[in-house]
Amino acid sequence: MNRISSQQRKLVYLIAMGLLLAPIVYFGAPGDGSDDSGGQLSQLRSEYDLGETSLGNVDPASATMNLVLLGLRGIASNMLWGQAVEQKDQKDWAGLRATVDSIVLLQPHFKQVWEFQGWNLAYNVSAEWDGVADRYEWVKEGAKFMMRGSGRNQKYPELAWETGRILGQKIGRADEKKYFREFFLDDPTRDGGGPDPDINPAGKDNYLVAKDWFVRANEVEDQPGISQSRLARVLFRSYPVRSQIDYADTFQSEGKFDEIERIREAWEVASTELRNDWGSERFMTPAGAIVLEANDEILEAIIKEEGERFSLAEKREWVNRRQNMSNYRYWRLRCQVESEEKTINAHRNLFLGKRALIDRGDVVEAERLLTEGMVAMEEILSEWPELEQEDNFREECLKAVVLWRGAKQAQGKEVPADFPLKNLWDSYPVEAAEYTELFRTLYGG
Amino acid sequence: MSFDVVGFDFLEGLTHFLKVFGGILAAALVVSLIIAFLKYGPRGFGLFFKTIWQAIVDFAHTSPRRVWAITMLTWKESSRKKALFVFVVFALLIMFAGWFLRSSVDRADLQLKVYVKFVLTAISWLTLPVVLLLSCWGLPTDIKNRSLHTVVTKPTRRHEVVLGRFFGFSLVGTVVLLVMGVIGYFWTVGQMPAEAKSELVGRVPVYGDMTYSNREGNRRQDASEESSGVNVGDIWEFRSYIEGGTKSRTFYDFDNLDVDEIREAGEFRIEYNFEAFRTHKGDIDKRLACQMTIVNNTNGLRVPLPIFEVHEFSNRAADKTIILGGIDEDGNRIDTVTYNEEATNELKTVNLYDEVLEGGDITIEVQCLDPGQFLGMARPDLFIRMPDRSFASTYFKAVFGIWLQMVLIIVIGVTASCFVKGPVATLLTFGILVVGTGFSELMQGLAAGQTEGGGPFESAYRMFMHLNPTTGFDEGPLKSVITMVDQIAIGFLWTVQHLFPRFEYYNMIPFVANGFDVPWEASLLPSIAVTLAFVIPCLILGYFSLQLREMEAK
Repeated sequence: MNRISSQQRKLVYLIAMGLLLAPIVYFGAPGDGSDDSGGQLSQLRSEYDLGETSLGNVDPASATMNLVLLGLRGIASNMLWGQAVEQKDQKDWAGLRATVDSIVLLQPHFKQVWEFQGWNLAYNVSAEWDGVADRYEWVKEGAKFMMRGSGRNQKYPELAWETGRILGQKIGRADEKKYFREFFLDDPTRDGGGPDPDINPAGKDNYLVAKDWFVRANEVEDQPGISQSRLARVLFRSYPVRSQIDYADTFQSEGKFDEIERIREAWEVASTELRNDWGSERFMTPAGAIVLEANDEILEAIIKEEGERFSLAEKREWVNRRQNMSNYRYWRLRCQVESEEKTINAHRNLFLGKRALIDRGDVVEAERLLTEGMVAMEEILSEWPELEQEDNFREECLKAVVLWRGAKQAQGKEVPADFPLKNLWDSYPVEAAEYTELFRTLYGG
Repeated sequence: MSFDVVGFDFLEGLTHFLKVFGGILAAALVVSLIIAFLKYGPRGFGLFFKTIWQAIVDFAHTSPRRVWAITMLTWKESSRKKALFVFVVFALLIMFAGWFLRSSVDRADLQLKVYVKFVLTAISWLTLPVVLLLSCWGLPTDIKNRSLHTVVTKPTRRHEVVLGRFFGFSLVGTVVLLVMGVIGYFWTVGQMPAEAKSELVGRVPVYGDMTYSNREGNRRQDASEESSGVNVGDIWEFRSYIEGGTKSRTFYDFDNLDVDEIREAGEFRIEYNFEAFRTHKGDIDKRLACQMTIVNNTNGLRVPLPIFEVHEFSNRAADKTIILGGIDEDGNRIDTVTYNEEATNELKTVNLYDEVLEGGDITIEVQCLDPGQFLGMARPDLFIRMPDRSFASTYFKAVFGIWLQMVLIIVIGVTASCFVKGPVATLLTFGILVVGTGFSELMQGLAAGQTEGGGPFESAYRMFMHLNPTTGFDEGPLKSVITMVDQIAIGFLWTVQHLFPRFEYYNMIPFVANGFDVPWEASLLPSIAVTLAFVIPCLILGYFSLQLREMEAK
């Protein structure tokens, strides 16, 4: 039989509890935010950046859910994932949205969940809707979801990058880009108009907002111990300037030539950022560090810094490889050419010529403008012959010739044997025939 | 709605029940008689009939007072087991649900779905396990503690013990469900933002029969696969599509519409939910154009309605509703419809109730007007909306559905606990619940012999011979033998599948979540029928199990 009394037993329990409390306090005492504060667990958490606060914004709902589910959140997430797939198949968009929210409550720091579902909403779900405004709404949903993911995971540069991609390329390059870009500045669901403050608080062009997100992605990626697994680093780092180029290019292709100064400025910014930011950044290669905007002087300085471990020839070789990989020389040339006033004027003349022919049927004016544009383009090509290899530039020139021939034929004139851009026309007969056929299909003649 | 609503044929169900019940009862009696004979010899016949006679006497002398006493005893026991602590969990869920549901959606109709699904699912998932455990452990605990001895030695009949348990646990469950249901109702209504309150309704739809015509305009009347529209490759084969700019149409036939009720409501409301499918981009900023024509099958009148654009998945009622009649700007009733006659394009005006809806036998034809584009629809995608019922009525019907399911689980649990111990009874009841909920379709397919690869013996043969299910099976004596044995096995499966209730009937959440009234024929009636169909056999089984059980065996 037990020889100690009830009171004694309670005392023993109390002492045991007190003794057990000591290690709990030692290991589990909360810290005050500094690295070496709190108990052992707190210090380890801080050392390895495992705390919720060090990963990103804290969502109390998410933390509660994970606490309640103990170790079963993986299973719960899997079940929810299956449910989300089924809801998408059965077009239960409300259910899908709610399920996706539940999944991220369970797995707030699982990067692929954010990437996959953000893409799913912006690309797949939006494509299921027939109305353009509805599609835009889901693109926004996807972008907002990705933004939320980026906020909750401030150590994943990919999430900021994906946000930029949705805002830039999805909005700017979809079939519905004309409407999407308008909606980005004047949201159809907002009373009184204006942009949706959640994705475009400053009311900027979509490519410029995308650029901000790409810059943010680069800033995250800059932090020590953080890397991204999306693209080769040299390409990943190019996206801010690529977005700036897209902005300038789109502004131009939309024919907003009444703001010619803005176009020129946009190209100049792109050119400067290309050379000074992306081009001057150091990238690691098997031959040590290199920069894309390299000359022998810069490379020799790097070699010296690195203790002469690599030769200049090796450095040149790797610069060349990385330039090829990222198409650097082309982008540099493009920015340089496009920021020239004569290039902008050439684009403008070709654009206005097309509008005169197609929209107004003013064949005389069309011929004049197109001829001026073609002459300017020929000059540009002779100055920078490598542009001939660039698809968009070549397409614009060949299409201009097709339109110009159409304008001539509409006036009953013969197409002369020699004309501006003839060399280009003769060099690419297949493309020339294709554009001529397209013109006939669309406009007859 | 994303599922078809099919009515339940009560008479056919009843006949089916009587066949199955009668068959199983007869088999049970024969088996019992044989066992009695084998065990006791010729004396066994006498014992068998005596037991049956005793059962009839016992049931005839059922005392409501004793049943009530055991009901109250069950209530007290359950309260002592702290079953009502489930309220604490429910309260916690309700308190914090807003955190998890808040960011789900902004649209009103979607919010209703999320809140209703949450509340009713939470109620089901909290009450059903509690009553399952209570009902499965009640009698075994009594037997173990020997408290049942004090009951059965009194002039209490065994079936009264079973009935008392049924009622007692049902009473506990009812109280729990009622409290949760009422709280859940006010919580749902309270959570809905002011601008979304209009979504809190119970729409009463009348569905028609659906057929298609092909692009040449040939209408197929039968409901075979051939009569469906075009499959556009959608992974979800719920909707079938018709081609725009052709003679392809979808026909919704409505018989015996209650024209007087529609006249009293003052408007004829057609609601639809079609889906667009584009084969080319077309005019990107314009939605697909469609048209409906009402055809009166009594007087042959054809009334083309104005062309409309498809707003698929829209949450605005106006985007998916056509209203004829109603009230004009001055508050006067509109009883006429003006339309352009198809043949002459002449403007005509007819009376809505006396001419367009005359006889209540109408067809609504739907066509897509954009060439090269497709319009998708399923049977529940177009219906005539009769006057609404309140949200409370539809919500509490769904709660009633949970209650029926709960009663069924109690009945099965208590019955199981009459012949096996608590853990086994729990597993058995849980198994029946799982199979009845998730494998009902599979069971039906197996029992109907429709599964690919044949019955159990054919499947086993195929596995052994490495034949895949789609490979043909050579004719011959082997096939005949296997098919015959499979027929017996499938017959056995057919009987066994009836031992698993079809819990799918009890799921009324989709109706409430989509703002529909819970239909009597398609949902409430089969739910009540299924529950009742199990109460009587379970009571008999429970009675005999308890009668024959050795109480001293723990």
